[in-house]
Amino acid sequence: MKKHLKFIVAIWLVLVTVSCEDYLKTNSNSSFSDEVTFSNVDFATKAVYNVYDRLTDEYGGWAYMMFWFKCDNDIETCFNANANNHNDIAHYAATPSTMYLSQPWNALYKAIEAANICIDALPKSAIWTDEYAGEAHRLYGEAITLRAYFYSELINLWGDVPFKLEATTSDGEFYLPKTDRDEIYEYLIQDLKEIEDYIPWMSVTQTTERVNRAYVKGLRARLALAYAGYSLRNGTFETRRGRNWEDYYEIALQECKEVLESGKHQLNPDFENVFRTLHGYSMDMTHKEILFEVAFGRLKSGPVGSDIGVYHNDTKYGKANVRVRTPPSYYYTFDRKDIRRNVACILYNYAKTGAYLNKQYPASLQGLGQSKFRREWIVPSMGGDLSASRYTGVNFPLMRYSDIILMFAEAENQVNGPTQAAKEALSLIRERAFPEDQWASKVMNYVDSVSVSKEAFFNAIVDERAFEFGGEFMRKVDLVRWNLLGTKIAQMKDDVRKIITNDPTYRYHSKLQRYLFWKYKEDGETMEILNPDFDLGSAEIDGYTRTAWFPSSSASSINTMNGVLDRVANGYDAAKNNHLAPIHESDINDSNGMLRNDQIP
Amino acid sequence: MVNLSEGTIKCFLKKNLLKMKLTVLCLLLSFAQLLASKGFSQSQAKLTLNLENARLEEVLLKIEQQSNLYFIYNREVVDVDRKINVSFTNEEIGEVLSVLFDKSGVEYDVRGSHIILKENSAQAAQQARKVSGKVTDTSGISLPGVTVVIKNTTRGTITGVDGSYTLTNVPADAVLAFSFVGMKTQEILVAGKSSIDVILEEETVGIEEVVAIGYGTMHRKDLTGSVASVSGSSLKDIPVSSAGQAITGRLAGVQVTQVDGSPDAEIMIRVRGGGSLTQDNSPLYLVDGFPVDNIDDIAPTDIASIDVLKDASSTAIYGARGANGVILITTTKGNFERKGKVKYNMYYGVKNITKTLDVLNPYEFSLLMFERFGKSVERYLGSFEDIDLYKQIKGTNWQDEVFGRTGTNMYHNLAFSGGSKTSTYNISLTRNDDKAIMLGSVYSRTNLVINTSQKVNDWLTVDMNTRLSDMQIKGAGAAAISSTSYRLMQAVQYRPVNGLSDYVDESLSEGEELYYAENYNPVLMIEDEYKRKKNLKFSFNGGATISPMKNLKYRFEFGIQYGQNRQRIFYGIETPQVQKFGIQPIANKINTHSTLYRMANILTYSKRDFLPGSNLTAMIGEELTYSKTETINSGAKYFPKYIDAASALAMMNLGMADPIATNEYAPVKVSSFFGRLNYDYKGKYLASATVRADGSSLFAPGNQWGYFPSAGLSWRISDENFMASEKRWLDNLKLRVSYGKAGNNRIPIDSWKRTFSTSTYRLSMGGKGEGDQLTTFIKPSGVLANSDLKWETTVTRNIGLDFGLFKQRLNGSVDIYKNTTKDLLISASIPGNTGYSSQWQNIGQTSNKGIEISLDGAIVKTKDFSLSGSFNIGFNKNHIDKLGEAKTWLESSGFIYWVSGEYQINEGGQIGEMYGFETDGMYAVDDFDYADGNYSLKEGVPDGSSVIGVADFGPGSMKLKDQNGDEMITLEDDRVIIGNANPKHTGGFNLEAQYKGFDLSAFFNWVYGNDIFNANKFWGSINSATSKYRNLFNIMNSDNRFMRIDKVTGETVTDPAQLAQMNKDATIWTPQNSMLTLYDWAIEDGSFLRLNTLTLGYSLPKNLLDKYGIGNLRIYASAYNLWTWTRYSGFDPEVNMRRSSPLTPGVDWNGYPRSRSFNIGLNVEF
Repeated sequence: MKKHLKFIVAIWLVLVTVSCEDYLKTNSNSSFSDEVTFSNVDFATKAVYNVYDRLTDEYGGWAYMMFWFKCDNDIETCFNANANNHNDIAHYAATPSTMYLSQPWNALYKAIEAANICIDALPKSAIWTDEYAGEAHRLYGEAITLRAYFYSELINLWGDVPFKLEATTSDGEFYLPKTDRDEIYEYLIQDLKEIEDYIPWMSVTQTTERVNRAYVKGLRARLALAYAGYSLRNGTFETRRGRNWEDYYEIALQECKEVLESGKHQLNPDFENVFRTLHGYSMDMTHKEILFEVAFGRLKSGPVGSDIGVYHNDTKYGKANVRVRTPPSYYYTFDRKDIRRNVACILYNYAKTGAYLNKQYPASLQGLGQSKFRREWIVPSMGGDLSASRYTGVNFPLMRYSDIILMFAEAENQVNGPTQAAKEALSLIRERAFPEDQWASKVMNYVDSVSVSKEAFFNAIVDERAFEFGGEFMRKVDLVRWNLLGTKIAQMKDDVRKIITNDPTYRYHSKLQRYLFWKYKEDGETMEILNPDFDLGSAEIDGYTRTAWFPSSSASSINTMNGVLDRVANGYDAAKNNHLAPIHESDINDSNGMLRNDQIP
Repeated sequence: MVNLSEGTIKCFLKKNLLKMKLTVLCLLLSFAQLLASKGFSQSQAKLTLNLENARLEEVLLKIEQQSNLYFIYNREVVDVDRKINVSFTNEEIGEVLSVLFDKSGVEYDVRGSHIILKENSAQAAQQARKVSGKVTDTSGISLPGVTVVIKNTTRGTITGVDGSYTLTNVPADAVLAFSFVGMKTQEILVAGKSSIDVILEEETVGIEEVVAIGYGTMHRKDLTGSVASVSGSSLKDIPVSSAGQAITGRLAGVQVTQVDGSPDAEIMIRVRGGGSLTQDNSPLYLVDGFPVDNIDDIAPTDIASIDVLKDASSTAIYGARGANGVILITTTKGNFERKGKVKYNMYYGVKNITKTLDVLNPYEFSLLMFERFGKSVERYLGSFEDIDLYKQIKGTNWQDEVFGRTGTNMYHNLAFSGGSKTSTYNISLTRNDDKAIMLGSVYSRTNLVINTSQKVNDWLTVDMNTRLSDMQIKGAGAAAISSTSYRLMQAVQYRPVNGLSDYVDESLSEGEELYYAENYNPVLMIEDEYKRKKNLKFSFNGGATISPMKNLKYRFEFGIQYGQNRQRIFYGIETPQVQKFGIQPIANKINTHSTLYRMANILTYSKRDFLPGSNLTAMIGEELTYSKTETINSGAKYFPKYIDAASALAMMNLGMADPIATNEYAPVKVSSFFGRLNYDYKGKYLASATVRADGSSLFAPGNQWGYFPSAGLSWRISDENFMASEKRWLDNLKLRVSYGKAGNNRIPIDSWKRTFSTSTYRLSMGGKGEGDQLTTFIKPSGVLANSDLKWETTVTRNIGLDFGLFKQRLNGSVDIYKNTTKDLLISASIPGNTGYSSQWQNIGQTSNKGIEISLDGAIVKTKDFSLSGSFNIGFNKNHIDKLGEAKTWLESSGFIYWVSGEYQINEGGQIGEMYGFETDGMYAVDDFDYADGNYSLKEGVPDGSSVIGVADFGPGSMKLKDQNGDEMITLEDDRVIIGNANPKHTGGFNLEAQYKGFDLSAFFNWVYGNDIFNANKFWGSINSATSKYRNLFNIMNSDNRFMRIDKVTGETVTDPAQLAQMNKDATIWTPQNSMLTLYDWAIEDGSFLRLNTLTLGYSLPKNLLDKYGIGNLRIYASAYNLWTWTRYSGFDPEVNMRRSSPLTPGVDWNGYPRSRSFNIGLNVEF
């Protein structure tokens, strides 16, 4: 028996020794530690890609930043009724319990955290100083740039927000108060300056899907202009510029100038081609007009052409349930000769049934979309089996070279007035927009005529940006910084009401047509409009189909359009300039009393 | 050499042994005869006898032969079969007789040449005799294998096949003890009887009961802690598929909630309320010592007993994981030296939905749509003038379509058990097929359990325990419901009619509008959502018990559990899941493999009379567990439109493959050391102490170890001398006191460190040679790490009183406890500006206190009729003592994701407090000033427009109570606590009656005093601007609700007088409302009393069965969920649908409706 006892004691001792501290160390093969993630350039790149990925997130990313939150201005509008959801956000009618207010807030901070983790880790990593230092610095710069972009979106949506520059740790402070946006902008603008040299030009990066030197400079200029411009201030509810606004026009000017002078980017001479290229899932590396795009994945993410774009009622090109619209007034503000009009705002949709099967046909007045994005342009086509796919994967442009040019013109005008340089910049944009035979009047004469004063030139910039960027969802931010949001929305509504009633006092009344006369081109699919911007009476014209255009004849159509128009910006009060959104109550709840909704009067 | 087979040897020995014995006997006899022949006088004759192991009769015969004396005796009185050894040489007859009959209870009287043997009246008490009889159970079935022992001796026997036994040489004053596993041991005084028949009763909860206490067992009478038990036999008739369901309401202080009516519904078990805040409060489940995640896959018929350890004195031995109680399940084993037994149990049942919810009929539905959406619905519903046509249309009742079918449930169990002197076995096979009431939902399971043990020699016993469970779940409904597809709600809210689109143009039924508000045809959706879940689990547990010396036992246990979970999911084109992905099918295969190892070494020393009058048991042990999980998820999207599920899943490359996602989780390891000391003095004063040290890999180095001590004392008052006078009625009275700590480590893996994992799903970075492919990136974990995480500790204090009255006719116990949980492991909400939404933290403190009472009584007990009952009730009150920095926060159940903050977590409050507005009727027309078609609120009337939605606000809107009197209703200031999900008490009672072969039992359970957030009703009474074509509950019909249009013309009424006149009888506000915050109207009393199971059985008479060799045959009929008394308006008050956080209990959202079932069953035993 003693023998057994010894045996047991032996087993016991062995097991006890085995089960000491080492036993409790575990690791998952499916995850990396901090050290491993930033131990080499490949992994570190993938960690920075995570920051890029945040741009492709629907709830927090594109759907809100790209269009719902950018809606209800004079070019991009939501025509749907308030429903306690994103419609209300677009209409400036959101309340703290409105749906979809919380997701973008949290997703933007998640993106910022993703960037902060890289920003913290990279300088401490081995690759920061070894042979891959250049690449590591570039990654660091990219994280800084994206972080600045995400903060700028937070400010666009909510004004003053909590500002955090380090990755969150468990012993850090979670509950942060709001930081004045002036302070945030000043920091970010300085921050971008410091990393600028880390980021190569696009001629080196050869991609539009990662940030490059020109984008960093452009973003810096954009933030500087936003700072220098107006916005509604928390607590006081005054609408004012950033505290040292004049200095920041200089910064914007300097940055844009450097990009222009670098000669690294050009305008694509074919305006339409800029957008068609996106739909072919390719990049224009010849002119490099687009500086930065959101890298959506075909069938996996991105609403370009489906949620925004031209309406397709389940055609051979697929389905596009366009969520937001363009008011018809936008169409008529274009010069008749402006090439950009027929890219940015077309008068047709695609139909599914009847005689118009898979063909273009005239849209209704409330049915115009953002026609820089068209499902029919997608190559390879997403019709057939893929016709219902919402995730087109077509990249969304976040900044184009023409923005740099116009920002330059704007900043130059602010700092030095309508100088020759400013005029040249504006001319550059307009030269592409008009056929060469029109340059004398539409470019030279026009530019001269608007260069008579700083104010006139400024107004020309306001208009030119509308022509150039309509449908790219930049208008609301522009109007806010110019403090023109209320004015322009009112102007748009007034225009539309006059259009639908064929009011002769309408400022572009001469362009209105009661009937559209059109026929199919030889391809039997695309439309040729005989009178795109003038009236041809009501008599039938041989060979052309006649369609009643603006519905002056039908009271019910007028009612419908009026009803739709009433919804646009229905929560916006020009006197209050309440362009900011409330913070969702769940985020207020979580803030432990640090956050209050003090940004909306 | 002769080669002999084993059989021959045995035979040879046997034959020769007999021969030798006979030879010896013959020799001895002849020798005796030789000596005796010397001759003597009659009474003075001298005898010489030398006999070994001879029967008394033989001896007497020899004497007669030697002496010419004749014996006269009665065989009934004189045990002539008695074996004796005699050795006399020339002894006088008197001396011989006195030796022969010394202490035998026989006296002798020599009368001439006759010797009369007769009963010695003086010695009768000590007289030894033969006792025989038969042992049966209460139903009259004979019990083989019952141990019959003469008390205080080692002599005894075992009953034979027919239950009969014979014991010879039993002293007349002896006590016979009849014992049998699962039966109450009976002790019977022989008192001179020679025939004793015994009826053994099944053991019920009583003081002699043996209970499992973790790494050992104990007699209930020796417990110092609080342990509730239920035996397998009381579960056998309940027609449910899982063990968890079967114990509902059976145990005091154990609340069992089946989250909904699905056949594979999660069973939520809470022991004494559960201390954790945002933690899983499930108890630790151990099946035959092996830790398992849940007990859903244990067949009720395989269970021998369930023991629930409730206080720290008993749970602390499981230290780490014992804080929420421990549930020990012992599966049926064979018994040593028991004849083999075959048992067969089956039942077959049908079931139906108990209740459907009233929704608007087609006319009311159409009217509502016109009221809310005006002419825009004409396209589908036709013009308003024709609305009366809808009165003629019956419409589709989608609830009938989805849940209306009759389900069936088939259960078979076949078990073999038995054992020899050295081995035991129990083999049990169970098959359960459950076709649920919901369309397409089928659940089936096969269980195989093999338990064997082998006595290798007198110091070593090995045992092996194998379990296999193979579960298959078919259908969308039977699987867990995702929060995004309101599948069950669709059956309520889907439009009852298609209007014109049925007749005019097919394409009208498509398009965004009809899909708006996520309205999907529930039948199409179910048919188009294919789900198969296969869950295969193997578990092997082996053990060896070594007794190297007396009092010392060493046990080694080793177990492996291997689990394989395969999910196959297919979403067809009618499901909401595909809407974003091109309305093309999606298929997914998810395989999860898990492995769990456990090893334990336990050394037990027990010594009786360790000190005079005291007993000691000491145990030390060590245990290691290791578990690892791995998942592989492969999916594809954009399948061709009309592919069927089976083909898609079999040909995944037809679709566009998603990147394969694999995850090997870090192993979870726990290392433990533990010890226990039990000491009792004279069985009256009992003490126990345990200590356990646990190290868990879930915490950061430095915080891994937790130490959990406990102690308990108990005092058997009834054994004290001063209580002797009360013995008549008080059999047992015991006071127990215990105090101890237990821990909790249930947090996700790697919560303490930041990890990065790879992901590939949206981003597509072109350029760098990656083309149109998706880009893989590395992202940090979604939950913020916390390196300071440590064990959560629960301190429990328990005082209990056990009593047995009137000869154990009434047994019961009362327990009072207070549990305090410190350093709560909380998934705390942290502000979004951190980049995370939550972090695991040790925050605050909660406590649960309560009383538990359980009673068990035999009310009537006669030969033919018996009536017994049991009752248990538990009161628990939860309290949040401390909450760290935040002090208070709002928690969202997330039932629909835009509604938030329905629960308030507040220091000083309770978990489960519902938070929202109080309703105050509706706004009357004259609450407003009217001008030019616009209503504006009068001064002094609280303005709820910011909450209700400005666009919908007007006369008839719901009025909310203005709590702070500022005339503005705001989310910040006017919400209060409007409900509490915690019941005041829960319990159950059981009545069992038996008359001859019939048995009848009824089991009731109840929950009292809790509130339920009826989210179905909430959502079904709001008609927001996004609710186009969504149907509402009938409470909102046009007779009840405030109408804003004229029922006849369909025109909107703005005139105040007309509006007021039209709505003078309105009882409920208009559903036109965008408000999506909780209000008290949606909170309902969830109290209920349920007749859970009613069973009527009949056992066929034994004499009839004997002919066919059947031991026992019982047929029964039972009804499950027969009746529920409740005021709750939803499907069923036993519901808890939002469980991702325990902070939001009692939400009724999309629960699978519970069914009522009727079953017939059969128990046979051979």
